[in-house]
Parts: sequence; C-alpha cells; structure tokens
Amino acid sequence: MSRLPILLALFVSSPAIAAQDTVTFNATINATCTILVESNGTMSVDTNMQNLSSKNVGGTPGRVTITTTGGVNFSVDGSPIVTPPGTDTTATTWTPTYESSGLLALAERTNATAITIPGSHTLDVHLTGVKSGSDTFGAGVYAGTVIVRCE
Amino acid sequence: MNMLNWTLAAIISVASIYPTSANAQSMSPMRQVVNSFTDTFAVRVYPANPYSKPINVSVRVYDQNFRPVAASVAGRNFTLPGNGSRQILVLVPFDGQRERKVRICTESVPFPNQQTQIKAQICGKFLGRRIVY
Repeated sequence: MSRLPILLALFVSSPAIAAQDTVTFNATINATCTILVESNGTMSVDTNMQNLSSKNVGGTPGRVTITTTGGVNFSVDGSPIVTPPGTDTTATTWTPTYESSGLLALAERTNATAITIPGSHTLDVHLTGVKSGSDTFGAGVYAGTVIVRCE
Repeated sequence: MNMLNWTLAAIISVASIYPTSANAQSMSPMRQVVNSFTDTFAVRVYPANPYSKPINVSVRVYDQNFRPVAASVAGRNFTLPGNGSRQILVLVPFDGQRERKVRICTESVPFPNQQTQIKAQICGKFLGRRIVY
C-alpha cells in the first residue's frame, strides 16, 4: 500500500519515449530514348553536277530531336536507301552524317556517339552523294532515306 | 550555275520536300538479360508513341551486325495511336548457341503516299542465355 504513491509518481514523471526510424526510397531509371523527326532534308546539286548534298547551297539538313536519359548511343546507318531517277545510271557514293550544337555539341561525323547528357537534343542530319571521274548527276527525282538510330 | 544546273537543282529540291512528319517513337526496355530453359528466349518490348499523331511502326530483330534474325514477332507491323503503347512479344531462337545477343528495333514506317527521308529506329540490346543442366 505504501508503494502506490511511488508507482504513481513514476507514471506521471516518465517522459514519452519517441520512436524513430528511417524510410528509404530507391529508384532505377532505365535507359530510354525517343526520336522525333522534326523535318526531312533537301539536297541540292553543286555547279559541277558531281555532288548532291543537303550541305550545298539550296539544300537543308534533316532535323531530329532525341530525348534520352543518357546511356545510349546515337548513330546514322551507313547505308542509306537512295532511289535515283532513270536518267542516272552511274555509281554514286552516298554518305549520311550528323552534327549538333548547343549543350550536346557534336562536330559533323559518321560514327556513333555515346550520349551521356540527359535531356532533349536536336541534331542535323545530312546526306551527300558524290560522283567520281566524269560521271554526273542526271535530271530527275532523287529520293533518299537515312536511318537514324538510338540504341 | 547555268540554267541546266538550276533546273536540276530545282527538280531535286522540290522532289525532296516532303510534308514535315512528326514520326517519333520510343521503346522499353532498351537493355535486358533473359535466361531460358528452352531453345528460344522470349522478350517483351513496349513500343510507344509519345505524340498525339498516330504512326506506323515495325518491330524487327537484328544481330550485332544488323543482319536480320529469323525471330518470331507477334505483330510485326502496326499503327500506334497518339500517346499509345503496345506490348509486343518477340521469340528469338538460340540457333544452337549458349548465348545470343540481338537488337530488337522499333522503326517508323512511312504512311502510304508519303516519302520519308529520315527513318527513326530505336533499338534495345538483349542477351539471351540458355540454361542447360
């Protein structure tokens, strides 16, 4: 009976013990890549009629925007699909290239580039056809397709 | 530049101006290792169209040198609606190998009567491992 006040005093004076722990959050972002073809290009022939390119006067590059987390490779396929007109019967060497400026600054190139900077990047895509010797381009419609690749 | 050159340049330029296409696509996953007990391994990919316009896409399988691989693709060519995604199952044979690396690519396909000068291709790299006891 005499211990009751002591027990009551303990209940009253004991501070509340706060529980504390941590909650952890984890996330894994897998590499992703989206390609948007903003515009197709146009090619124009040079004065010697031996170079048909989007880089010539009157030509414009194609433009693509890639949006990526980084950790991917961008490239253009080295074998474009080109349909010449019937008037063109001689061989042509076709070379696709690309370049970009801004945050992702890339000098014009043909080989693949590892994209390490996440975000959206706009790249210009060129296509150039070259005749050798005395061969020249003929009048007509040239249709070329360049494959741009993110992997 | 003489008249012939200008004419040729004009023809080529006009011929090359196609309607601006908003062809875009993405695909996930882009990396995966798959273990299989059989002579084939299966990969499920999700091509997606993040834009509002429908696009035609094609799913193709290549080896490391971009040579076509005779794989089974459930629904190789299809139309993805705007902001749409679709699940595609790809079955790749090991062809007698213990491991096989392939690329599974989602490619944009031009609509009929439209010519596209830039074709977008999103490729994932996949490694299949055959488990043999």
